Amino acid sequence: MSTLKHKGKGPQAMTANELRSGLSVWMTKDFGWSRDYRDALLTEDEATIERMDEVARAAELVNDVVGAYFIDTVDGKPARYRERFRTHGPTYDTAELI
Amino acid sequence: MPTLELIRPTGVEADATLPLDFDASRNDDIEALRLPPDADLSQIEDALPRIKSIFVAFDAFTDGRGFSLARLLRQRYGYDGLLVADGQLIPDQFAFALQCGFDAVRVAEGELKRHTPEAWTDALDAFDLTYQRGYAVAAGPATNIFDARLTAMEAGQTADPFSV
Amino acid sequence: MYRYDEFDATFVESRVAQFRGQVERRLDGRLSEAEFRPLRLMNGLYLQLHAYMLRVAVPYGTLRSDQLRMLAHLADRYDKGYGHVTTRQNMQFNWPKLEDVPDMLSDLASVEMHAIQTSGNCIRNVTCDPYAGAAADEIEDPRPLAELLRQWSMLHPEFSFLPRKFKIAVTGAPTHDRAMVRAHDIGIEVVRGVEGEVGYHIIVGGGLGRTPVIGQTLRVFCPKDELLPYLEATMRVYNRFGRRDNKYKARIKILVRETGIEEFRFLVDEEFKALPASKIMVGQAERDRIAAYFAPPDYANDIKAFDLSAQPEAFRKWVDTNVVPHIQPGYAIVNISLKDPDRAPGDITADQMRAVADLADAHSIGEIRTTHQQNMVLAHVRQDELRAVWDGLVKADLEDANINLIGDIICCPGMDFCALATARSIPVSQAIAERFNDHARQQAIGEMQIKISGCINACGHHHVGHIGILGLEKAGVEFYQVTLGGDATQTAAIGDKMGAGFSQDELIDGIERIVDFYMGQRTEGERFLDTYRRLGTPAFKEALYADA
Ligand code: HEM
Ligand code: SF4
Repeated sequence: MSTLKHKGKGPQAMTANELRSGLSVWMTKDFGWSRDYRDALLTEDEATIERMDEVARAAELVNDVVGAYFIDTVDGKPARYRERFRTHGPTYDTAELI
Repeated sequence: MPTLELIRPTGVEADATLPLDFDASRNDDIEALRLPPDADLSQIEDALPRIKSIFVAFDAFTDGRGFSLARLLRQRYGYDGLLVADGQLIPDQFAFALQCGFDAVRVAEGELKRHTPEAWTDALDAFDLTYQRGYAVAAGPATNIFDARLTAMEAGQTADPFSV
Repeated sequence: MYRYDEFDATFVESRVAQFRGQVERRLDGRLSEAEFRPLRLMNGLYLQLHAYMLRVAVPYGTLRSDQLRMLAHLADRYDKGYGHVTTRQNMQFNWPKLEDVPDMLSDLASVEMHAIQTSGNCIRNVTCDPYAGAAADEIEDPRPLAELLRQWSMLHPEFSFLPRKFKIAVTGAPTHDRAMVRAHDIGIEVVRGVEGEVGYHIIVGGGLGRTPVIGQTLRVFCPKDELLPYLEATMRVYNRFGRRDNKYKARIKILVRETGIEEFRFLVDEEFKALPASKIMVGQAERDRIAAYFAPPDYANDIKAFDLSAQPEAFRKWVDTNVVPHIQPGYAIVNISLKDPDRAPGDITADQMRAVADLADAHSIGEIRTTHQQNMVLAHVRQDELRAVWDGLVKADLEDANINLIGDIICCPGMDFCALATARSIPVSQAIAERFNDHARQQAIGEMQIKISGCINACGHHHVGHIGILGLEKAGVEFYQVTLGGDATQTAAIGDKMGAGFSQDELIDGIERIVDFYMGQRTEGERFLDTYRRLGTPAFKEALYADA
């Protein structure tokens, strides 16, 4: 379920996982989704945040994404350590040795 | 009061009233009783023969206490009235409910739009087999695997004239 | 090892079909995420930090070679070419797609495997001594029991929605517990009764996580016939009275603690007495049927004494650390280390899986074990074939000679993969492995178990590591807390917490200081754990913080 209600600090970004692939995605400036955090829409504008909220809810309802939520950002990067990890992927993955 | 939706048709009146509190000192027949998941069954033990139907509440489908209550009511207390799993179940639990001793599941009417009666019967059809002895039921998984193996082993043995 | 009969096969196939239907209903929206989540979890499918993760059950850690090859196939076809052996002997894949999972489960079913109950609030995959059936110190092979429990717990109608997950471990060698039975919700030891008859010692309420507890005896001796009814009684007490108001207090260990072991035992006994035990128990005939699958292989008795002295040094070192005695003269148990210092502990590539499967076919009756130490085992190798096994392992880059040494680190995925993590754990294990990379030094240090978890859930068992490491985070910076003196065996103990945490670099230096301190203080034959117990916490704490 979404924990959309944002009580965040600073510019907000919206993130989720694609239902089918499970991969992390962020909401883009045109209210779509991208697997690349660099495309993420970051905003403090209340109306835009409201809109992001609606779009994310709708995307969950039509089962494009799961578990959408707002994240705080600082200087263009996610504020929380965990969220920064989600943007760049594992620092070690055996896949890279193969 | 939600609409009564018995997934498996039984003889129960669609609008059976469910007293939420229970007075053990009464000695008349009780049409229907609703039990919370943490019910203490020893308190209603004496009245059980007078209770025609028991609705065990499932406040969340992840709360499996009701399954144990049903099992106890049937097995330890010998209750043989109607037993209904009442509340937030999902189709994938239908077989489990029957196997634990429920006769039926009741969900709120709105829920049946998402999980249609077909979804419930399909889920029930998904399994014919159960590993747990004592949990095979005609209406659900009807064959216990351990018992079936034993039957097969014994059949194999009795074919041997010297082992009878 | 066990082969499915038609019932087992039909059962697992129905399960695959059911999950296929559930995925379909999820994809078209008939199932909401909230409803689907517990269903996917019951099939081992998580949503992790970056992607889904599928946890495949390796029941009691035993695999046939064709099953391991199938895991290799899954890794290649649906994932990124590798798998991860977990501390519960299962195999995880880090990158599957939801749409592919039904096909993965079908492929698994074709080799008698599944992902049932590898997650969720149900009875999880039963774990077991990886040397079962080969260990010299065993009373009885525990795998027939583990297989019986696998079947009994499978989609249990009454116990699939427990307050919390439920983990059972079994061992047939109570004097050398390699299955951590005291750190499980229920641990079962095969023991002998007063008449010499074989039965079970039942331990309850152990577990790690945020509240580590060593299990206590629930029943000193449970006759074989009574086991399933007795477990059913135990599970019913837990299902009814285990806390559901707070998921951190929902494990059976908390119920046992809050009711007290005496009262808990009383409740179980009351329940047990009221059960129709004869209708629940599984009789001798069926138990024998299962046990027959685990009968010892046809051992050869013509094996010539094996002369190590003529062998290369690297091979001798490997034999020294990775090979242990077998119950049968002329045979040996081979541990395959998945602890290459450059890799994540427990990771194995698809090619390596196939290589191990081939070695098992050629040299170990086609059977492989996974271990809770995140390694693999070939349980029945002729001593005169050890060299051939080693050659094969060298070719597959699996010849690390570090079993039970400081390089044999248990490590959870941590922040690199896990959605619940507070810090990374893989880089820490790599840094330790690198610092102590010298084989002679590892040998000199001797038995040492370092265990690392990336958060308080303790999947890396840090509480029971001789040195335990817990990764935490504060204001975006990782730091690591140390516990010392933990023990995962029959003398189980929770490690003592040291003081303030360390950065990763400080941590590695600190570990080196306590290892050096131990080396300086130890008496003849003492392991790190023994010296720690003898000298006590303050001395080691001082060494740990000497530089700070
Ligand atoms: C990556 C996804 C994983 C998630 C989301 C996860 C989650 C958890 C959680 C929440 C607990 C604590 C449960 C409790 O105390 O009630 C736990 C415990 C545990 N997990 Fe994991 N885990 C993951 C991976 C692993 C892996 C990779 C292993 C093995 C290497 C593992 C083995 C264990 C074990 C052995 C425990 C024991 C602690 C106990 O039983 O109390 N888990 N896990
Ligand atoms: S210990 Fe924490 S970080 Fe490690 S796998 Fe378990 S839940 Fe994830």
